[in-house]
Amino acid sequence: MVNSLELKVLTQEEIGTIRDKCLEFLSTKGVKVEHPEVLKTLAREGAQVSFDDQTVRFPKDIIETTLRYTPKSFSLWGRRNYSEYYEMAIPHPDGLFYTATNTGAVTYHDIDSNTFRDVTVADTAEWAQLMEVSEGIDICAFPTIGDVPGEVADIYALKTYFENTAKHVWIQPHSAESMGYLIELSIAVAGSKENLKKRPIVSACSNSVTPLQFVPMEMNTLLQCARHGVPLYLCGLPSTGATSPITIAGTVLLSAIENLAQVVMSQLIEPGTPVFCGHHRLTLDMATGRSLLTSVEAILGEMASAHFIEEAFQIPTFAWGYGTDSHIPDEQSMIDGTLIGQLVALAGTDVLEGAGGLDACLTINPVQLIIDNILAGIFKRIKAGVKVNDDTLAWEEIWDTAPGNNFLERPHTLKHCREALRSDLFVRDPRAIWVAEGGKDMYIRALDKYKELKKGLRPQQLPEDVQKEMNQILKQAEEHLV
Amino acid sequence: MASYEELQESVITGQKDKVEGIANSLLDGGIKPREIIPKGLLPGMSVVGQRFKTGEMFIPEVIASAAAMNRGLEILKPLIVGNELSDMSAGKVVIGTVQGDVHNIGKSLVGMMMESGGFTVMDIGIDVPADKFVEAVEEEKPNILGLSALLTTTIPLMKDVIEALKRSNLRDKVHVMVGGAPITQEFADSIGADAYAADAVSAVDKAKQLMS
Repeated sequence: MVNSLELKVLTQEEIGTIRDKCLEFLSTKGVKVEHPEVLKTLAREGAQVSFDDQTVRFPKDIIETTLRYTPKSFSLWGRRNYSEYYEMAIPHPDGLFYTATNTGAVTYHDIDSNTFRDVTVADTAEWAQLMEVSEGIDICAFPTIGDVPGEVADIYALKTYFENTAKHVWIQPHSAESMGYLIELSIAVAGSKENLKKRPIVSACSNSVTPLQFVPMEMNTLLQCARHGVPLYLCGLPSTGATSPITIAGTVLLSAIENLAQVVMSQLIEPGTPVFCGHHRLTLDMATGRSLLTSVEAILGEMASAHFIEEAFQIPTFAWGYGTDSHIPDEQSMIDGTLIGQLVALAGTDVLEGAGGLDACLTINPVQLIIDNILAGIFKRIKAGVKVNDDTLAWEEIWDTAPGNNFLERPHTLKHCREALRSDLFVRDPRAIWVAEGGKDMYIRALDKYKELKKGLRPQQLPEDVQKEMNQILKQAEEHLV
Repeated sequence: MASYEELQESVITGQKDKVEGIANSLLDGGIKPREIIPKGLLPGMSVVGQRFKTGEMFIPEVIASAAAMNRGLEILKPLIVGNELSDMSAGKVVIGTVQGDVHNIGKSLVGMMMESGGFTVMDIGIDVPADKFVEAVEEEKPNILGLSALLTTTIPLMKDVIEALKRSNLRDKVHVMVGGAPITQEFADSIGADAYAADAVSAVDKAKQLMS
């Protein structure tokens, strides 16, 4: 791995203190796990389980042993068409990160009417096609579709994604009952159980109910994904002052305890299960009661947690790296998105999620996705840092050119002149030309780009038998769940 | 003898022990409990509600005020006889989080603000199945049923509760209010709810509108 830029948020002593407290808590106080099968497995593997109150304590030696064999690296897979796979090595081989879109949004900000409405299947299909052509988007998380029965909304979403993008998909299951169908759909597209395990084209999120409760649906997700080799985003929902302590450090500690419990459980259930650690971190605005995604404190917490997990457990991380508390793409969304992404990336996060999201991830907007796609490039370029070697130091260029003269005609300039990041959404022209071209602001330029891209969007061409199988799985799900 | 103003101020500043002391002092002075509640406790909470609405007070401060008011109610309510207590109530509210959703904080905050607004609130908890809501409406006969959900995956279950009320012929006997981060007015309309509130303070306003 090359040296990319990194921000050290915590000192080694602070990291050591938090780590010790995590182990102390899990070995003495424990967590609540509401899943009989998982409780039995954990008890068999050496955890101290109280079946009466569903409390699980993890002895320190089991935690340390488990941490040693938890994968420090693994791969997610995407496809360029149905059968051509590509690998996304975690951690990123260049010390960078991957970008995922917003997960779970219930609202679609309709560009044409400037109204907020439920997300439809048609929106979801277009959203997937838009991600397919957005080079900065690596992982596609789906919204909550509102124009199909709620019991099968996640199954519709995954099927719609497979029909419209070949990129890696982030699954957010809606119920214990639907998880099996989501796995079936993934196997149908992967070709077999073995293929899915070997080259996971999907990953899934398993949440805690913060603080430190693990409910049946989420444990079912963990169980099924671990068995099928589907990488897991181990996640919670701390909201400072509400579901977690009001201080940033306290929330980082609670998040770390939750993550460690989830890691140990995943590895005791199925050793070697690939996992990310992270949280959907929020801060509760004490004046309004609204949970905020991009408050300064939420961002600092994301940074500190990512740094802690990387240093203390060496497990890959994910965090919100895009998104805003603003309800529309505006000046605030630009500031929020730039701050959170830049800082969370520099803190060493492996997957930055939330692209295209507004309103603390409850709303998606295609123009915001266009903007976040550009931001992804900027964050990556900055994260890559400054390369210093004989070629980049340009010693001979300086020696041969200066004093006086200029570097425009140098072969070295010609060689490197296309390396600078140059977004077509940013104004580079002199004012006279900008005015002549309509004097458009950033939002309008992004809107134009969206309209242009829209003309070329198209679905994936899936083999007929795969499409048939997916249709059949959805039909069965509707018959059983609705 | 202490004054109503002091009692109001103690509620506003969230001083439980002081509320207890003043309430006892007023009782010792011969003031009737049915006068102390509407003249001392509720006006104090009304100020709290207003200050929360304008951003002057924060949620933990409101919670402290509500706890202070409740300390006063614990002393005064048992001393009120007959129908006087129910006559003082702005209405009865049953509130709970729908099945599959274990989020408690927002729902509790709404319940607390409703109590502060003079409503009698029965909180039936989290992860509540539709039939339990129906049971509570049958037994408690509330004016308002409050349904809460935080998860995008559980909000559809609010509709199940409304359908269950219809099946039990109870729908026209109770106002249904819905709330939670992913809920919108459009969603509330689509499932046939009577009101949607975006936050705890507006929930009280909406509840009062429903009762008027």
